[in-house]
Amino acid sequence: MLEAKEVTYRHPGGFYLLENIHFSIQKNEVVGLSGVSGAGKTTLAKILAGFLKPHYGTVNIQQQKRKAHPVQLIWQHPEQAVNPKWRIRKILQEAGNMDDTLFNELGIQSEWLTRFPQQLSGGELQRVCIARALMTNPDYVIADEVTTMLDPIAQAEIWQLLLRMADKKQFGLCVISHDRHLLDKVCDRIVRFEELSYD
Amino acid sequence: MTKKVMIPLILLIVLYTTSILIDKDMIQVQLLTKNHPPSLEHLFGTDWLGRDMFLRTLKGLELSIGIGLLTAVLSTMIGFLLSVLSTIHEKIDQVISWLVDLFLSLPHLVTLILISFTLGGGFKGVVIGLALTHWPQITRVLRGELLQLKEMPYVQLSGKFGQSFWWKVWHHYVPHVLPQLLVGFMLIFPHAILHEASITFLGFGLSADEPAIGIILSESMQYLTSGMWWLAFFPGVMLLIVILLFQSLANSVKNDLERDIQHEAFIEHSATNHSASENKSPYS
Repeated sequence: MLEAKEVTYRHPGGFYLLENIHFSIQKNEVVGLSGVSGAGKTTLAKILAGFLKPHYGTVNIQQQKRKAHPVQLIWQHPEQAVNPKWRIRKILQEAGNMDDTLFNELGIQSEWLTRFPQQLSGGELQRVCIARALMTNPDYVIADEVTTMLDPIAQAEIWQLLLRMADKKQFGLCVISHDRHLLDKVCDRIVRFEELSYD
Repeated sequence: MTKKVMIPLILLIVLYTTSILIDKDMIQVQLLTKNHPPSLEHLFGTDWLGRDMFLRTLKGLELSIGIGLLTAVLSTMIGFLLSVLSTIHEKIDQVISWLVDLFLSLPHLVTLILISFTLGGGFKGVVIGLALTHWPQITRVLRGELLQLKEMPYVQLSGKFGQSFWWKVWHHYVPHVLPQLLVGFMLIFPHAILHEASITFLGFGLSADEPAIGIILSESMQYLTSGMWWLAFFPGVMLLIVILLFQSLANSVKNDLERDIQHEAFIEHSATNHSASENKSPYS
């Protein structure tokens, strides 16, 4: 179980963005996290995935010691999450050994591998980022508004993929979005961001 | 590589190889031909001991270019290493910034003379002195770049995929700052040569028996008043030419590296694939 307890965070010199947050997610569970824009959903995601350190409180992950982080975050903007100077092949290799069956399942075509990130569309690049996160065999995946900039068809494809992979590889999936309809569709359980903190 | 890169590069290589090929025995004392002004036989004239100034100048340039390259490589390496270290922790960064400010606040030449003098002068003293005084500028540039790069999501993600710090340095940092590294290296080079010449001229650098440009210039000062202008003029001009060549090389390499490669690749790609992808829809 991935569990955040009493997590408190503020940006340096700023106000408290997260105060006394409690959040937990089981393996093989799809949890939706909804909240208004600016509430701190992305900050919480970064804390859970180890990008930021909370000022107070703990994040407990039950896991064995491994090279890659057990919680993988898929960023809202895939073009920021890849080195613009690298070709797709190298971007994927950074996360581990190339896994052709995974690429097939995610619909990553072999001719993408020699291209630069700018030569792929947002949806295509997001698939690359998802593949990269899954190549590390994570215990938990946090999808932070991953389909916000995509058209409805691409959105549907990405969610089908993610749900199928979560089912197959048995990882806990945390879906962050402000789109209630989407969350109703894909999640086992939905929590509202405002409900996470109680005194 | 464009023509603008190749021309100064080839000229510098030709100059350096010819100067290597010159044997020291060819620059012997020949008192019969002393104090000759420039002629076809002695292009740059001869000095008060009858040595051919053309050969001496080239030999001096060999030493100068060697010292310049060595110190430029050393300073660039120091600069890169320090800027990488400053990305590790805020405290280390503060110490390094303080060191940079300290070295920049001291006059270059004074530090150089002090370091070179403490190390006993000579080749070793000059090289170490030059390397230890020329790193601050490039460190400042690289530090800024790397601190910015460190915060990029794709660099932070690299660690979460289990890659080590030095893997990150080699695969993310080095390619990113390669233009700055190369240009910094090539801008330090002429600086180092000039400083080598000036401390040698002042008597704190290389020993007087080595045919360095600085030695040649400082010796010629005694003979200027007797009208032997060629002793100082030609070596000085040659030094200037080498420095200008290197600077133009640096500028053209910089322009080359700053070309937007992905953008060009994108245009190329869309030009070749446009007709093919036009009627192909992923959902058809």
